[in-house]
Amino acid sequence: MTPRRRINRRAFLYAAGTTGIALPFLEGLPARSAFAQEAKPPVFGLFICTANGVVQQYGSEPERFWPTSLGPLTTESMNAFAAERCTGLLADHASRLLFVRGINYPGPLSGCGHAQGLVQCLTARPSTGSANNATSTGPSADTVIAQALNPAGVGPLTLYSGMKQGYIDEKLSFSAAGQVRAAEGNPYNVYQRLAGLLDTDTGAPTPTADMLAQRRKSVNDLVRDQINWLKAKPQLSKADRDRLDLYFTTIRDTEVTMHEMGDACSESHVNLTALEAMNSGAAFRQNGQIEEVAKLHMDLVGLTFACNANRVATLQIGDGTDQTRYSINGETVERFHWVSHRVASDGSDGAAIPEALNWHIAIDRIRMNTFKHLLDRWSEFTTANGPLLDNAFALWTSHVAQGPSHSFSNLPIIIAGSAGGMLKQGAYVDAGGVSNARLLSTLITAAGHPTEDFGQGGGLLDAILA
Amino acid sequence: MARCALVMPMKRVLWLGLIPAFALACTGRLSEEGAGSGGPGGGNPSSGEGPGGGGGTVQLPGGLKVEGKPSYYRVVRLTHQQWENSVRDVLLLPEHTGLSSGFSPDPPDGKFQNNERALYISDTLRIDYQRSAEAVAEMVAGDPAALARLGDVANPDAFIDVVARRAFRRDLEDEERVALRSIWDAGANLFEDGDPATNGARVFIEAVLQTPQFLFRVETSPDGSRLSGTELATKLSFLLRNTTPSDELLDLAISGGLDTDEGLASVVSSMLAEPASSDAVLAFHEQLFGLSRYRSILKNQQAFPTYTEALNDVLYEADRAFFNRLYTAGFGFREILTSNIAFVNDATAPFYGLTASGPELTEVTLGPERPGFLTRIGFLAYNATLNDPDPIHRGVDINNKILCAKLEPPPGEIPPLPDFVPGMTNRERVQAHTEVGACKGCHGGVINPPGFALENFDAMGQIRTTDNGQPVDTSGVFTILEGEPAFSNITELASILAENSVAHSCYVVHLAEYAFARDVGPGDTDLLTTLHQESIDRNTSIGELLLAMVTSPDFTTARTPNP
Repeated sequence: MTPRRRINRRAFLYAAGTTGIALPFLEGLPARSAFAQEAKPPVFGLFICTANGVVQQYGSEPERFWPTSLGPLTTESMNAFAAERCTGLLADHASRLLFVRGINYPGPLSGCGHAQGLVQCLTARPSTGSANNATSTGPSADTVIAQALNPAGVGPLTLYSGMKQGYIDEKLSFSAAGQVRAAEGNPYNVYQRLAGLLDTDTGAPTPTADMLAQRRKSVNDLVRDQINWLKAKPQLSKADRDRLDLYFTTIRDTEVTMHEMGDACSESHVNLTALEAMNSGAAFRQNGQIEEVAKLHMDLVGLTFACNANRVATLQIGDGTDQTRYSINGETVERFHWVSHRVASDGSDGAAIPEALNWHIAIDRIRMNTFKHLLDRWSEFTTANGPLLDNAFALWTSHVAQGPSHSFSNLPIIIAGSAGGMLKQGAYVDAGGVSNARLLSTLITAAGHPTEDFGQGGGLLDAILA
Repeated sequence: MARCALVMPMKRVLWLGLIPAFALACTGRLSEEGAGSGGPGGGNPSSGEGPGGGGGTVQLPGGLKVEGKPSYYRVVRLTHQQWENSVRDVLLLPEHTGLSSGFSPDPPDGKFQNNERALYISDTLRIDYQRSAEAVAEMVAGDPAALARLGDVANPDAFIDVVARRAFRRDLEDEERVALRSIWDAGANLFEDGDPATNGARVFIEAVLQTPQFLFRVETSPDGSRLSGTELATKLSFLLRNTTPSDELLDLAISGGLDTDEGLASVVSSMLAEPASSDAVLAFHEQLFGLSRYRSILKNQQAFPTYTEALNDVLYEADRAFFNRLYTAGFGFREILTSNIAFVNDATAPFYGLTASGPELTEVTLGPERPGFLTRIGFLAYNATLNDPDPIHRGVDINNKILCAKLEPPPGEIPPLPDFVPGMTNRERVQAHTEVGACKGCHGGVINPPGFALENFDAMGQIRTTDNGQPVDTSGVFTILEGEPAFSNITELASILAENSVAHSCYVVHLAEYAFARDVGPGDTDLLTTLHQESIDRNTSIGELLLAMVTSPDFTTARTPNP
């Protein structure tokens, strides 16, 4: 466990928006933490989607991703292929892992698959629209979970790591058909929104916190009254009133309590120095920071879950045609999208990049180490009901299956965590070439919202059930 | 393998539809988003008549068809920049707080950033607003001089009237005045210490910055009537100054100064002469032509040894300067395609075959072979690979942004371009790949010709006369245009486009979308048709087009499509 450390006072005061606050209180929750109020312990879910596919066997491309054989996985068996296949790097956590091959997107690949893949990744429905304008035909799984299990007005935590270069940026989380949810790329901002939740050394409310809570309550009451007053204006349309209602539901009063929170709901899990460094000069969107930003986001999602501040999160790592230039063996190599195509262009018409395959293999290993970071850190988190990984799942995938082909078949799927004992662990299974709708229906169910008809081609995926 | 453009909205147009007629194969539909269903918290607009009314197809001269669904929200959130500017101006701060840089980003909508559809408040943004309001209030209340600029805290009613009027962009109604005074009075007991009056002011500021009246631009005039003076002042100010209306503009509006077309036109003319309007028009062009994309330009250092990624910012600023110059000089759409003005510094001038001293951008006049924006090195280098010009991207960009053509994606995967054959030019290679079979329908006459017109510019936008040892061929026939005009080079093509009816219609539609902060609808057809004609007949300036738009009923009329 990281030693407890006092939060940076300046940053905390900015987060609290006032002076004299150095204490716990709940900023983001509409009501008292629900750990002790639910019939079943809550389950938390994180969906991670990376870019440009992985190196797996396809045509003449070698297999460098999947475990060597279906069936049970152990640390020993995974270590045996760790030198060749990137997933072996997760061997220390073998008992917490489930690999699922045989998952496809329901819609066909048409032209550029990046936006289509991103859109289908969590909606499990064919996309609509062309090229980078492709968009969803339904909500994403995180939206369904948030609407069912979060308090009213609390959407999924929607995160992003990468440069956002404007062609295909965030396209993973959809509140409804065609309505993409903006993703936060700066982990410092995520922290700022959580800061009011953080425990300090005492864990006890103080008069100052009570005062701030009262003041916010007064302001919130005024704002609610003003919203209602405006809504009564007969000139407004239903759409306008819906828009005001949406604002109304986001207004939540502060709870001055840390009761019923996980022990890990603590500032000790925040690397404030790293967060501030990413915030400085907008470093978080610079080339070369994508994996570090992803790690910070993973820490903050773990903290969010430990604090029961949200039941679901998404993390998109890289934009649709991720142009990150990774550093491999001290050399900054070509843009990842080009590397994934094996040629120096966004298509197939550029000069061949001789080292592209090896670079992609190396990039996959870098990305797998980032996922290992999640496993390492989340192993330190506990909820009020026990270890986080016993009460959560983290899905790792990519928006296309493989680089040069952009294929939508046999997507790389890794699930960490048992989701309250519902999911198989320590195993590599074959789903048999089914739609990711079945995978997502199962995960939505595991999160606590029984669902069998999510997306196109739903039903539960028995192969991943414990 | 499919081809995905980092920078272009279409690389997959290789298999574009087969129909040569403009309105069919590469229709003038602006975009998918134009037929959107409204953002969260919104609903679908109904059809309507009268100014701007309803969604549907707008048919404009030249055959351009635009599908749009304006929602006509009466409640439109401030953009983040508008929030930042408004906080500064409502509270008379000397500079921006900078707090909006931490706001939850707006969802990408594929439209201009001020489009009404995307401007709602999410749960994360609500937290950002709360935190920022508290931080601003603390800062102001902790600075006696800052507080004094706003009024006398010993006289809460007057203080509230002045500040909240600026924040709400109109005089307060009694209910609002009572509510704000109530929380001011409560403020004395909401802090552990401090002067009760100052505490009252502080909590009042916290509150007023979180009210829907501040965070949203609200219009409550009756359906079909002219917007009230203060509503018009607000709409104008956010469009042309990107901030809350000044006290003077509010005074004028309240006194009836915007209630007549003449009064409105006078005010708009004055505002268009302000430097702030240049920023607004620049933001329009920057978003329309995607200038920020230049930051992803990358070139082969061996092929272009003087190129560094640091140049990308220079190219971006140079094209911003270009568009700003056109606006302030009173030019119209034509000059975007034909002007010989450019901005260079010591690093970029050599790519034009010029010399310049120092890092500052200076204005130069280029030769006739460099007409307009399409021949500036930012556009050319962006639409190119590491080593070679990219006629497909260049052609698609011209079709999309100049002609509002909607290019459909190809079915299935796209085979790779063939390898270079010794002696084969870039054009020949692209032709061999795209001008056969199903691809030919759009590539042959629609996408490739404008791209080939720029083949005399290499991947960094430098003029070249040969390619792979062969003379470059910049000629073509642009079959998407009426009359299927032929051209021999970009100078001729730029002249053709500058006189083309569809191109003028397209520009006017884009500008209207930005000015109205919404999609255009069938009810806008008359205005757009008139302005198209003005643009093509008189080369109406960009400022004059804006003036006509914001003084039209399409801008000034209150609309409630779905009560």
